[in-house]
Amino acid sequence: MVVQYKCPSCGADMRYDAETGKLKCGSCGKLMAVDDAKNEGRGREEDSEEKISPFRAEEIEDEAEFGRIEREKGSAEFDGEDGHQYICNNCGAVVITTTDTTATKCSFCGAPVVLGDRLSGKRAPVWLIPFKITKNQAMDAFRKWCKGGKLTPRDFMTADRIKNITGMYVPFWLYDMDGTGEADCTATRVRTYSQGDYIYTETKYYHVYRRVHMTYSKVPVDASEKMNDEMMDKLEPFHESELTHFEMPYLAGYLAEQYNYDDSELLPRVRERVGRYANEYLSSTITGYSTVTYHRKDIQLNPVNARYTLLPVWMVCYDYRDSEHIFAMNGQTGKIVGKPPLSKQKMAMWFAGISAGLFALMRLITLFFV
Amino acid sequence: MGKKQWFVWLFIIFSLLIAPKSIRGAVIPAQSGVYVYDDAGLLTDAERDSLSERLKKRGEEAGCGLYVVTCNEPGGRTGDQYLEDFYDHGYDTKQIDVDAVLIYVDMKNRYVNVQAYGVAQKKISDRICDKIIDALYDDLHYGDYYSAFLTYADKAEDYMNYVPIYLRAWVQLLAAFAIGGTVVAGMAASSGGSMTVNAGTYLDLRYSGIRAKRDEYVRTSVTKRKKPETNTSSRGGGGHVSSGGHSHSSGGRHF
Repeated sequence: MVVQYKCPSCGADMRYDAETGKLKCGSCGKLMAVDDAKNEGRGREEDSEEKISPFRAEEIEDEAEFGRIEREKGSAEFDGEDGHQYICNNCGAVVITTTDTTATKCSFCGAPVVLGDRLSGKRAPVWLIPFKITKNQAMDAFRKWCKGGKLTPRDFMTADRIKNITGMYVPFWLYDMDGTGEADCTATRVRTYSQGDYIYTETKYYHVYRRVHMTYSKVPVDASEKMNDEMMDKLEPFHESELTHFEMPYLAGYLAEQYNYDDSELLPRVRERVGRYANEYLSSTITGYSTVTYHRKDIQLNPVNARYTLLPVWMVCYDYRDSEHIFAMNGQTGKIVGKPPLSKQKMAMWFAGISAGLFALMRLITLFFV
Repeated sequence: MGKKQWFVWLFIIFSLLIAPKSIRGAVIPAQSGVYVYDDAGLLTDAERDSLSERLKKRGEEAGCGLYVVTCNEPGGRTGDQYLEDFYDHGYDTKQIDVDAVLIYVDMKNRYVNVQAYGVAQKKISDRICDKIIDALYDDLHYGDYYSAFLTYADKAEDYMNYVPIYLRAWVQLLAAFAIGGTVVAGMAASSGGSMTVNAGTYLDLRYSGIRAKRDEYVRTSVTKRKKPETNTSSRGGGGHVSSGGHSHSSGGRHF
């Protein structure tokens, strides 16, 4: 099912506009609220197919046999899972998608296309944070960021080779977890004082116990195979105050993908991460002591909720000296992550400058004050 | 200032900083050229000559005068007094170096004393005076005076030229490189953006807290140690002043 949003005034394609938070007609500029648009979406339903009860394949025998061509090395591998073809409502061209795509644009006429059936049932996102940063703002922010890098090469800093910038909704799971932590330890308070000719060190020993209840809410874990986990983690925080219920019109004009890993597959990752946080929290409740020695530390965590959520990310592809660098920008807060190229010359300059300065300072202190 | 000029200036400053101290301050040679005042006659002539040679050489290396003084009859002067008077007299008549380390052996009381004046006073504190005596005490005790004095010359030069490890140029250079490298590595590592969420970001405080806590006192243990003696001598001087008004450091004992 292909969903496209048409302007009620002129019939042109509408896209989600980050500035106004509404759908905007590219032709006449008409705005339409997301809630109104979701009923307007024109989908070409393949009704006829769905009403016929399917054949029972095991009862039908082959009536002819064919040899198969051999797969050659280097030829594209076809993914058999997704035989479904999507046809653009505007121009009738086949919309080229990967199996994960849920929103894209028609490669022929450029119309925004949302693939409704990949966003329904089990695959329906619960929440979404809409883009707040527009494409132009993202470009400007990226240019500014490139210039701010202390170790980035000079010619990189001009940032005139943004190959493409793509607004993308990346699938995440937002986990709620709660649990209990227990700690049993021996702690000391140390006090020193002097009396007469002696310095006394007084150590008081305490037996300390803590039991805490912890709730972690909306911890994001990236569910896309393509996205670098470390990069996605660094994009955080996304502010949960702007979480809205998922509606398809938000995706109009952006790319979107569906999750590759379901909530149970990613549970170990979130457990490891929240486990670390819980450990820190438990330790932070034991205060006022000089030393703490743990005899026992137990943390039990249970997942409560996992909600499929789409979060906005600007992906910037940048060409520099024949290699591509990928950067990601949080589409809500504007935070940028990604490995910029490092200039050996600049690193050497900084290294030499800092070392020489320190050495000179140490020599000065040595010669004039010692 | 251009980039190249900047480097040239840096180079000049560096060369000055690493330069040996001979450029910075010339050694004032001893006036009389006599280094051994052996009134007690503990040395043969040959020993005296070769000891003088050694004292002169080591003294030049150390940047101060090294003197050996002995006597049989201190004339009622006890302890440090004889050597203090010797220095005062030498100072007034300009027969000895203003910056000087002296060793004195009183055969009547079997007493040995080391004193340091002027520039040497900073480097050779009361504690170091004692250490020098430690090194030659056995020779002195068993009557091998010549060898004791040679040890004195070597040790005095050692301590005069001693530089603590953290003040040596190559150690400081390595430290500077290490810090510079760490800083640049840190800059490179953080160039890709860093994690800004922490343990508290996702903790829901409405549903989190301490359910139970115990802080039970068990016992107290007390240890005591003696206060370290406040060591004034380690800061050079040590508060010894000769009757001629010359401040110095000193160490002495009977052998």
